[in-house]
Amino acid sequence: MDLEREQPEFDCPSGEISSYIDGELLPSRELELERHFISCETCRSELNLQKKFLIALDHALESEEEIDLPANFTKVVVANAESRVSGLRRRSERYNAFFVCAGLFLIIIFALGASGTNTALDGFFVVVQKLVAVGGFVVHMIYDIAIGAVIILRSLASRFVLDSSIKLLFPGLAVVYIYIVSRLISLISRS
Amino acid sequence: MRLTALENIQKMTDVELIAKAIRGREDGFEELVRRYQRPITNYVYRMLNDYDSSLDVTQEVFIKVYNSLKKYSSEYKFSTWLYRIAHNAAIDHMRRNTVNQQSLETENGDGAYQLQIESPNPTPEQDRELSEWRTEIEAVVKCLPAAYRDLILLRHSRDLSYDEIAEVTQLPLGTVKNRLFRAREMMREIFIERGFSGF
Repeated sequence: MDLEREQPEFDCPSGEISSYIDGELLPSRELELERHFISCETCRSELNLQKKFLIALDHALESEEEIDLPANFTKVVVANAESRVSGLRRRSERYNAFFVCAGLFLIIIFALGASGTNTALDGFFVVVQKLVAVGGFVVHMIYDIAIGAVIILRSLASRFVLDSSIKLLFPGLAVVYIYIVSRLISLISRS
Repeated sequence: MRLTALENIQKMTDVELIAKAIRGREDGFEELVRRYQRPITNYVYRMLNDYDSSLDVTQEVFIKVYNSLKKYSSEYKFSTWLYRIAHNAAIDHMRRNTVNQQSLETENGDGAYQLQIESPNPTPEQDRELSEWRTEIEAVVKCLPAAYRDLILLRHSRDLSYDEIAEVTQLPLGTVKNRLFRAREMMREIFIERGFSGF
């Protein structure tokens, strides 16, 4: 239609015409432009051309029918988002997951144990019993050693006057004691 | 029963769906994806001009959204926030694949982008129906520099206001107005160069 458009006059608000059509001007400025359009043939013509152009743009670009999404796109997106999630994981969720797993494990153990003669579980319980026995022995031994050390140190403390030279003997005696006890333990364990 | 639940969730607002998703209900997020997957894919597709990439980027957008739901502030429209993430993802994708973009745009001293590619010259028909312009307009939009194409799509395809476009692109409002004006002028010039009349 108007391939060779006229150049708007200097005072014409040509740069604001598209903002006017978009409804992005202040009401007072809109009113000024509307008054100007009445008196200016160039701007009126430009306004009509731009309106036509913007309507064509809206019409062409608003349509979204051309994109075909894969049938399961929503499910895939949701599954991927949830599998890669980090922001929505709460600390309590992790604790809950741990307790649920631990609970399930115990239920399985008890359920299998209740069913009676499972040889695999028998083996498991034997190992647990041995570990408990060894643990008990180690704890008792440490307790006895500690008691012995306390008795020796008390008797030494009551017999000697604690001058500075004797005070220095205590760390040495403690080292010798620990060495002897550790050697005894290793001999017992070898035998 | 299940149908009623589905209908209920479809009636929920975006903010309600977000709250549901944050509480760990996946149907809340699924409805958000269903609601916005097509507009986001279309927007990204028109930015990238590549179907497979647009699907990948859309997926990336929703993963980012899901991971950031707690950061979403309801003082902004969800769609504006979503388009900002989509805009950034599309721009990042274009930066990663700069070979296609380098030839498309250069910014001159005025901050305006100049078109550097050759446009095809189809034979125009004078009294083409408005619907028939669609293909031509799509083609011209594809020729625009990315910085202009983005604004044209946000305005005319997504119907965002200037303020919302500024929010999405994180550009000053004045720059949005200026670029949008230049983008439209560039499009009209391309149409005139191609021999189309009426604009």
